Amino acid sequence: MTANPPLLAVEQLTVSFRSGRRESPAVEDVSFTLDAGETLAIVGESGSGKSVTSLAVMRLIPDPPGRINAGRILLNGKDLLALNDSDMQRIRGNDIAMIFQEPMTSLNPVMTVGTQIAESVRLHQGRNTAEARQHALDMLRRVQMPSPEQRLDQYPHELSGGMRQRIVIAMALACNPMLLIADEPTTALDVTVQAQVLDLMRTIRSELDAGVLLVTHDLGVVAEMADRVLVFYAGRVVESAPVRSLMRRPRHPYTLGLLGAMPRLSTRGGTRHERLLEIPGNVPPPGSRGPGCYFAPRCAYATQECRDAQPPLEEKHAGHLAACWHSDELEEPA
Amino acid sequence: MLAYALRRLLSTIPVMAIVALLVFSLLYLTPGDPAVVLAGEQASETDIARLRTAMALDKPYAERFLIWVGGAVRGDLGVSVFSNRPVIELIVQRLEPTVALTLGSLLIAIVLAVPLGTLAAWRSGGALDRIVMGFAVFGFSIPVFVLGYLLIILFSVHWDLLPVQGYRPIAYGVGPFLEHLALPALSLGIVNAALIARITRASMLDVLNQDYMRTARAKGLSTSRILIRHGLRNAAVPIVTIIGIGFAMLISGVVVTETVFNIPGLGRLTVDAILRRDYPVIQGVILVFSLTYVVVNLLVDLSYGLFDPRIRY
Repeated sequence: MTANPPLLAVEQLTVSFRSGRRESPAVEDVSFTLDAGETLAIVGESGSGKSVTSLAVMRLIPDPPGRINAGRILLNGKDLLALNDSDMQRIRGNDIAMIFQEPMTSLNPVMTVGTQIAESVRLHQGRNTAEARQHALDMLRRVQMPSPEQRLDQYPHELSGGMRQRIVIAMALACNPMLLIADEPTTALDVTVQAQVLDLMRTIRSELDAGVLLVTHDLGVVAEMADRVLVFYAGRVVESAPVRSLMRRPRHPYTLGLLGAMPRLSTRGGTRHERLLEIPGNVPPPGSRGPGCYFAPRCAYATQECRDAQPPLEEKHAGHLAACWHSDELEEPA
Repeated sequence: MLAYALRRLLSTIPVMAIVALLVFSLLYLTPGDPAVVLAGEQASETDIARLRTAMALDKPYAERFLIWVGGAVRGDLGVSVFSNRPVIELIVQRLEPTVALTLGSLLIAIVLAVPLGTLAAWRSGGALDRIVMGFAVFGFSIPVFVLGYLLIILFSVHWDLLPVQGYRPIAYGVGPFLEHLALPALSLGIVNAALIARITRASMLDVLNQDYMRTARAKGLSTSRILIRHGLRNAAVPIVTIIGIGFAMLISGVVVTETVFNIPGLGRLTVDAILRRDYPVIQGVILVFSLTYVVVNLLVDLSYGLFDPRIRY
């Protein structure tokens, strides 16, 4: 049996950050796979390790203070962590591209957007200046930029937030990557612009047949975009499931809490001012974590067992994994 | 842009007017009768009286100032008391060595400091950073004349590679010109290099932490391209600012360096004029130095827009 390796396989990834003498883990023992054409969402609160995981795939963890302690990151079966710097540079921006969160700050303020888009094409595809410029123009059309010819020679500060995010997307897509990592692609945008950008990303995904790793804290975005979801809590994967299965019946109390904290418009009359549920407490800082489940201090279902032993990530239902001792006791979301 | 340049150019006029007033007052702030001071100790009463009339010293202060400024604007800075030749002629004669020394040391400073400062920022906290910053403290602390003599002892006396002193105009050949210029330009350049390196490091450190630098890495660009194309241009404004400010240091350094290396430039002219109390020459040289400083900083201001498109005038 010669099964094709998945597009991306992350195996037992552990990343830590040093501060002073202390080394604290940001991501612990994270494993997942992503196939071509699939969209995998990583959700979690800030500090849950979702951005760190996506940066680790690009090998863009700032080192120092960050360090990938253990694990493998396989792109089509090739371990990225074993590559030298120049081989990794050939992959970045070419095979794997990244859409960053802040369109306001992730573009170079002193270069025209045309140059910034053309840059990676010139580098990875060895095209000359004129060809690269033409390609940049094509990319601007592809991301549905209004009056693209004029935009080429404009600087980022001359564009609106939504346009800048289109530039960031155009830059990422310039070399037709097989893996696209989108780190909170819509978080910094106005709601109307968010919808446009999500629309654009869906169109592009269907054209490209790339795998998409979507990092977000917005479950609304997840519901619209993702095929599967990984839920991160305190640097660990607590639940991994197809998006519908997760939305219908979460198997981890943290996910249940996240869904409860998501505002939604009620279709039934009368209950328009449904209260948002919040998860009490905060993510425990690395130093104060006990031997048990990291979520136990905030969990309504926690028992002594939870405080004593870390629950393994196990299959609770077809394709639906969760790390919880009490998966079966959870109520269905309201 | 053009309107801004013109406005900025006009704003140098009051600055220069104040400089001119101070320079002019120099003669009258020194104790004693200027005519007596200028005529020297052996002068007779008639000599002094003649000088007083010749230099219009018998006229009121404001009138004398206007006469002097009127002359200066037309390039007439008066006549040297010592050599009896027009000051402007003396300055033009001495201009080449000083321009060569200034530009040479500025070039050395920039070529040394910008790459070193960039590397120090890139490897901040590491060994390279410490070495570069150690060098910067050393370069900034050591006086130009001490460094100048050290370099002479090493390169000229000990290794016999370069001439000890003197200057060869470029018209006599580029080789001898550079040979004579190397040590003075280096000793003057080091101080400035220290200053520029520190600012380059600080400015680059700030830029390296920006999101767009991560974007550049995410594109798969090489480190050198990231540092130079994406980093330096963003870090440029503070760097050119310090180069402009450092120019003042360069001017005072020129006076010392030309003395150490016996270069017949404006610095020597200044020192000689001071020793001889040749006030018209002192005034003329200071005016030229001030004008240069003002012009350099005007150019620095105008260059901001080239580096950063967000700066609009």
